[in-house]
Order: sequence, then C-alpha cells, then structure tokens
Amino acid sequence: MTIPHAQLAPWTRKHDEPGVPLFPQAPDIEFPQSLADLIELCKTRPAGQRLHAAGSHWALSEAAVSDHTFIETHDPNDLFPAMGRTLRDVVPGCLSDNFLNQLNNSTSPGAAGTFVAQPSYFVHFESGKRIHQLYAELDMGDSGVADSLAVLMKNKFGNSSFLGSWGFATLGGAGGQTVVGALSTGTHGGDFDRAPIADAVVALHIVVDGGKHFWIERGNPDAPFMTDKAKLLAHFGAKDFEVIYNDEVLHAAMIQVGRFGIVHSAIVRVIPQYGLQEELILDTWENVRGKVADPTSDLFIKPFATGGGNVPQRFLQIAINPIASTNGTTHECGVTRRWTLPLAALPTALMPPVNWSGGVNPAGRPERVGDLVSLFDTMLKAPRFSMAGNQVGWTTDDSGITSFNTFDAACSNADFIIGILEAVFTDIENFIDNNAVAIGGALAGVVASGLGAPLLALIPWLLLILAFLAALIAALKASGDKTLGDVLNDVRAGLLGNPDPAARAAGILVWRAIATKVFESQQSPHNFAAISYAIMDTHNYTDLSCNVNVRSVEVFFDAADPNLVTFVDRLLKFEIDQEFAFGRTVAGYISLRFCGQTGALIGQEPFARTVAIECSALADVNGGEQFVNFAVMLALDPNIKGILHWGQQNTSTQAEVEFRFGDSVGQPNGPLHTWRNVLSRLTENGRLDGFSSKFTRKAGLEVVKPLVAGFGVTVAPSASHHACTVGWDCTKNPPGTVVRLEVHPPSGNIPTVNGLPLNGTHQVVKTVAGTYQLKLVASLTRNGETREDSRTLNVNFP
Amino acid sequence: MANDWLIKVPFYGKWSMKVIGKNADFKQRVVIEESLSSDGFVDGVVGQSVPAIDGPKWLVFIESSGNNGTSWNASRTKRVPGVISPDGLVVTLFSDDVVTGGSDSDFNDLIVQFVYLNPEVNPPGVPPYNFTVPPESFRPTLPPDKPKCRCECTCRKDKRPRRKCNC
Repeated sequence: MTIPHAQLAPWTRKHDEPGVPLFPQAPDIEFPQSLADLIELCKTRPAGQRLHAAGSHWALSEAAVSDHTFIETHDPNDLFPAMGRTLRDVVPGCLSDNFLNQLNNSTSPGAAGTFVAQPSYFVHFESGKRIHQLYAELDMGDSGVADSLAVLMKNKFGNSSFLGSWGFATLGGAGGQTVVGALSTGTHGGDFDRAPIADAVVALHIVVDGGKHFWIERGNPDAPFMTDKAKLLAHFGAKDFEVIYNDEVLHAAMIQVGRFGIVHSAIVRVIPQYGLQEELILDTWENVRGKVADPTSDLFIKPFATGGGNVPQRFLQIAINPIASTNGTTHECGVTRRWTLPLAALPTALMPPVNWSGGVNPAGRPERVGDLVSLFDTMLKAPRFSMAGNQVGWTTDDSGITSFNTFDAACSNADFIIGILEAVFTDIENFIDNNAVAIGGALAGVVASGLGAPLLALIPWLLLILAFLAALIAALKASGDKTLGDVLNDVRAGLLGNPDPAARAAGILVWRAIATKVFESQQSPHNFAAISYAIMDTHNYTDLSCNVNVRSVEVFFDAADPNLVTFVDRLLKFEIDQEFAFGRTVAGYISLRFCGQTGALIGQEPFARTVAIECSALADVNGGEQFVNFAVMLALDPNIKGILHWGQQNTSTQAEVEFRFGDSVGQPNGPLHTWRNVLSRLTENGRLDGFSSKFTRKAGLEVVKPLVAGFGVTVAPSASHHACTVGWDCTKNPPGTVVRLEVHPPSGNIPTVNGLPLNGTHQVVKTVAGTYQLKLVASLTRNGETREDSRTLNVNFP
Repeated sequence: MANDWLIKVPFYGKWSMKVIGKNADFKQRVVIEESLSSDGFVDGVVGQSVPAIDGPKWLVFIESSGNNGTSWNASRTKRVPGVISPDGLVVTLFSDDVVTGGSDSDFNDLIVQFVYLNPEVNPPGVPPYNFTVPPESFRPTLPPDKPKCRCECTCRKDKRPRRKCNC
C-alpha cells in the first residue's frame, strides 16, 4: 500500500508569519485516504518517528505540531484528496434496532413536535471534512441519498421526519477548520445556553499507535447504545479492534489534543435547520463589565419578539476595543446577541434560490452554500457546493463585515483605512485651526472634557503628525497593495515612535482616534436574520492568497469568577502602559463569548457558564505580540487561574495544567486523572507513545503514573535453596519508567537494587532466616514530578 | 460558586499588604500562614502594613475578638480582585465578623488591600497624558462649505464633452 506523502516539504499553520514556514523542511507529511491508511501508518511507524494529525492548520497552538510525521486529513494545499467522506457504513449500517426504534419514537406526536423538543439526526463523517462542507451537506439533507439514515427511517418506519434540512446546534465563529480539529481542541461559540461543539459528539473512531482502532461511544445506561456491537465487529473485524461504550472514555476522547491517536471518523448529533437573529449594539466595557457575572442581567436575558411570542436569547459576545477612549477611562465594545428563529421566519435571500432546495430560499443559503456543483467531488470526497467556504461573511449589505475578526481584518485591503486616516486628518486639522473638537468626530471619542487645556499644548506636535498622515495617505493611494497589518505598523511607528513625551502623547491621541474608527467600522450596529450557519460562520474565505501573521490566545473563566473582569482590566491597563512607556500598541481585540458546560474532561468550559476571552493581535504591529504574551502570562498566574485554549497560544506546563484540571502528585484525582486513565487504557499505559509530542509532554497530557505488573516469585527459597527469584513485567509503561527492588530482611539491611530492566528477574540471597519483604517499585519522573507504583511480596526464607 | 465568601484566602507569590478600612467595634487582626517568612498576626488597625509577603502559596484570614483579644473568631471574607493605577493588580479582602448570634453580612468590618509585587504582572508604568479639553471646546460638526462653483461634464450627442456649471 502506498500512501501519498511528501518529505522535507514546508509545513506551516494558517496564521503563521507569511513566507516563513514553521518547518521549512518537515521530515514527513502523509496524506492518508482511508481507515486502512491510518492503520498502516500507526502500525508501521518506525521507532522514534512520532505522529500527529493535522486538519485545516487553523490551530495557533504548538499542540498542532508533530515531533516528526504530520498526518494530513485535509491537505491545505488541495494537492491530495481529503479524508472528507460522509460515511453510511455505521450510520445507518451498524445502528442497533433499539436505537432505531427510539429514534422513530422520538418524532411521534407527544414526544416532540415543538420547536424546543426537537428530533435529532446523526451524521457520520471522516475527520478531514471541514465545517462549512458539513453544514452545507446537512442543509441539503439526506432525502436524496438512498443509503442514508433518513431514507432508512422512511422505508423502515414510514417516518419522513428525517428527510429535511439539518444544522449544527452551535458553532465557533468560522467554518474553515475540520470538524474533528475544532472539537478536538475545544472550539466553541457564544451560545451560553448550550454546551460547545465537542458535546455534540456521540461516537468517535480512533486509531492509536500500533494500529489498533477503537470505536468509542456514549454509554448512557438509560438509553440504548446507538450501534450494535456485533454489527461493528462484523464490519471492522475483531482483530485489533475494540468497541467501548463508556461516557467517561468518550468524554476523554472528545478533547484529546491529538494525544490518543488519530481520529478516523466521528458521529455528531445535529438538529433541524433553523435561523438566527443577530443584533449588535455599541457600548463600553466599563458600562457592561459589572453585569457579566450576573446571569439575570440584561446582557443575557434580552428577549426577541416574534409573531409567535418572545424568543429567549441564546448568544452573547462582547468585543472590546483594547485602545482606550474618553481620555483612557472607557473602552468601546460591541455587544452581539442572537436568538433562534424558525426557518420559515427568515427573510428571503436576495440571490436566486439554490438548485437543490425546491425554491425555498432563506437568507444566507444561496450566499453561503450555493448550488450543488457535483454530487461527488474527487478532492473533497463529498458533494461540492458553489459557495461553501469561498465567500465573504454574510451580511444584508454584502459588506461581509459581520463581526470583528483579526484574522479577517489582517486580510483586508488597506483601502478602507485610507478613508479613516482622511477623516482623522480632517478632525485634527479642525482642532488645530479652531481648538474645537467636532462632536461625533474621530477625536471626540478619545478626549474628555475637563479643566485646563493640556491638549492645546500638543498642537505643535499635531502639526507634524498632519504632515506625516498626509504623506502616508498619499503613499497608500500610490501603492495600494499593503495589508492592514503593514499599514497599521507604519501608522504606529509614525505616531508613537518619537520618545519625546509630548510627541508621543500627541501620537497616542491620534492613534486612539484611528483605532476607534477602525473598531467602529468593524463593529457597526446591525440587526438581521439568516440561516444558522450564515450567522455563525462569519469568516471571510475570499482572500485565499492572504498570508497573515496573527497572535491569539483564549482564556476561560467561570463567568461568575471576579478574576475575569480583573483579567480584562489588567490587559487594558497593559495597553495604556505600553503606549506611553514604549510607543508600542496592539492592533486587535478582546472578545468575550459565553458558553455552556462541556462534558469533555479537559475541555476549557468546565463551568455551568464559562466565559472565553480571546485576545488577538496582528503581529506585524509592534506591541501586538507583547500584548498577547502578557495575556498568556497573566492567565497562567495562579492568582488569576485562567484556562488556556488548547488550539491557541498555549504555553501551559504540566504543573499549570494540573493546577486547573487536577491530578497533581499530592491530589491524584480530578478530570485530568480520569483523562490520563483513559489514555493509559488506549496506549498500554503509555508504552505506545507514537502520538506524544513536545507539547503534550510539556503540558503533562501523558500517562504519569507507572504500573507494576507481573511481580511474583518464580523460584521459591527452601531449606536447601537459600535464595529466591522474583520476576516482573513492567513493559507496559511510558518510556523513562525505571524499576527498583527494595529488599527488607527481618534484620539488617540489603541495598536497594536500582536500574532493573522493565521486564526481568532478580535473585535475592538469604542473609538471615525469616520473612523478607520484597517491594518492586516502578518510578516515572516527568517535568520534575515523580510518581511511583509498587507491589510487595512477603517471602519466608527457612 | 456555593458561597462568594471564604475563611482562608490563598495567595501565590509576593504581595504587599495594608489595612485600609475598619468599620467594627470588635478588635480585628489579620493572620498570615504558610508564607516564607511573614507568618503571624497583623493588627487590624488602619494603616498597618507589611511591605512584602512571599511564598509559593500562602494563606490569609481575618479574625475578630469580642473580648479584647482573649479569644478570636475567624471572619467570613470576600476576595475582590481589581486593577488600580499605578499599582496594577490588587486584591482587597472585605471581612464580616462572625459573632454569637450570627453575622450582619456587611463585609466591611476590616478591609485589607494586597498589591501584587510580581514585576511581570505589575511592571512600573508611565503616567498617561491628560487628554482633556474644556467643555466648551466640543462643538457640533459644521456642515461642509457650499462650493462656490460646481461644474460637471455631460456629453453632447456628437460625444464631444460639454462643460456645465452651477454657481
């Protein structure tokens, strides 16, 4: 079997610095096409050549990086076909009869039928399928797929409830990631009334180091297993294949950061397609921060009135401009809320209906999914839709600006900032001429009224800044091909680069005016509705050639934890300090999104209501990287105790991870303890370490507790034989495990025997008669923490 | 959170401490435990301070005495983090006496502020410039000046441009 691969080719992540691959020559990049390929890769891995799965390359974390071999499930360069099939072999091929009956009953009158108590549908797909691909397929539905679950339910039960259109219950803010990549790292949206994406997973099919593969499915005793084990075994074969029905194992595998192995496929629960109403209003952080800890505040409970009554709010995002306003006392923020709407309540799209919907044309569908181009695209291994994953974000005015997103902003053409620079230029000119601040102008937002007139003292410097801005605007108009990051760094250098305090103060004033205008352009108030994915996936896919250089971290807190407001306030003070002290600044944002509790053991959303604070910056602007690094350091400080997103900048050490998820040396319990136990179960207690990486070893996402096994007497002492032989087999342990034998005779001392092999025997010679205590100890030290396991035998020497 | 108050409040690293408020008849004191070298009692008197308390993890609790120091009861304490200028990250403890018959839940009997002395988290800053103008400096945006003469080009039927001006 030949698996497509590349050697010594560059490997990089989507948001890394352009032109500077993270690895100019990755040792090996594999492009598997099937489950058999994955098994082959895991089975034939040469010793010392570890593996790691890569999806869309969207992660900013070191967690995405392999020690040696990258396994691509969806080639970002589209040179090799993706592992992107929607699978029918298990759903419906291996579903249990009990489950099918239950599914049928769930849609009968009385069991469901309201908008809230919805029927569920289940989709099984390979791990290289991207989010926008799956939401497009779900929207089209399975009525035309002869071997689908929907058609089976129609044929078997006469139940047509599953023939319609389906959607994700929640999503993050973009659809370019693979579904499995997004859920494996704990990606989430801002839907505070439901758990994140990972919790929609009901089964995972994972191939581990060595080639064994596991079907891991929920094990709720109150509900029938989804699949029929006999059918699974008949389909996949019993050799090197194991079926596990266990919630705990599934909750460990939902978010495993690639450490367990490579996910071949997943089944997720989806819900009937729906619409979303979105509203964005401008406010200030200082006005709303006192309300974020209160679930009854108007941030969370603003109803939306429809013809059918009030709809409860489901989503909240607060996007903060880190650049201060009002003389440094306030920070603008955009507050975005969403409400669920029935599909029928959505406005009609401006574009013609798609070619597969029978004329039904909700806003966002033709713009974000489009026509069916082919039923089976050989590169996607799935249907191809004309607009899925290649358009700007949906808006009513086609601006494509639906929310502030540094990644998108970084790809923006610099044209729009020329208009902002010109507006600020006019405002400053007016101030110099008349000593007046135009209400509603760029300067008005960043100054405050007060006694005295210190601003007037800056006029000589403002005159110089005018000249700088005029030259910059002319240069931008002449060149026109710079990215926003490049332009903003030029602006920063020109405004803040002068160390003279008054000159810098004048520059900061103007920088703040520009930043305010940029922020307001990205967070323009709006109120509109569209189909679910068009509202949730706001990503701009049009600039395929865009290379960005972004730093980003996301920090999670209990929404009731006062540390979260302090964290944001401290970051905002850091920005003010770096402007005045160093002439640095951030071009980015701080975004708070709220979500429900995850069941994933090392999910970042362990609280009843979690807030995720994303701090994102363009690295091209001097100060952005420092801003994000400060956020990381502050989050990791034990007095703040934020949890870092696995898929973004994450420098957590083992001790820091244990401080948050448990299983420290002193307290070996908590969710991380359970997660490590599952890792132990799948990897022969860590012996199979092919998916270990520098990141997982540093963060302690490893088996940390060795196990003693097979310890016993192989040759017993007797009256004539004055020695005994003990044997053991501790081979199923992580590399680095060491074994020693402590011998405690009834009197006197026998030195401990250190450095024993993991599998071996040792002869203990009698020194005195009596009962000897023999203790075999396996010991493992990781990141300075040592844990041991031991077994003790009592042997009588006559 | 089951309660929004604690008895013993953990701190990590190096902090300074100062008693900044007292609103109680009973005698008050601050107790420091498990620090590297600052364990002990600090009188609950406004102005009392400790310049630095350090340790990987140390604990603070507040006690009150209704019998002038013969015996002490641990108070309930609220931990309120915050950011102030120029210090940066601070934590303020607000205590509530627990006495026979219960407490009044005022959480103001003793108020103690801690300033984080970690230079990475709280580096020294620079005083910001005062961007203020007198209130009368704020003026409505003026309408744009009417152009003295506005010209536009139209085309004749023979495609030759014709200049038309409205003055």
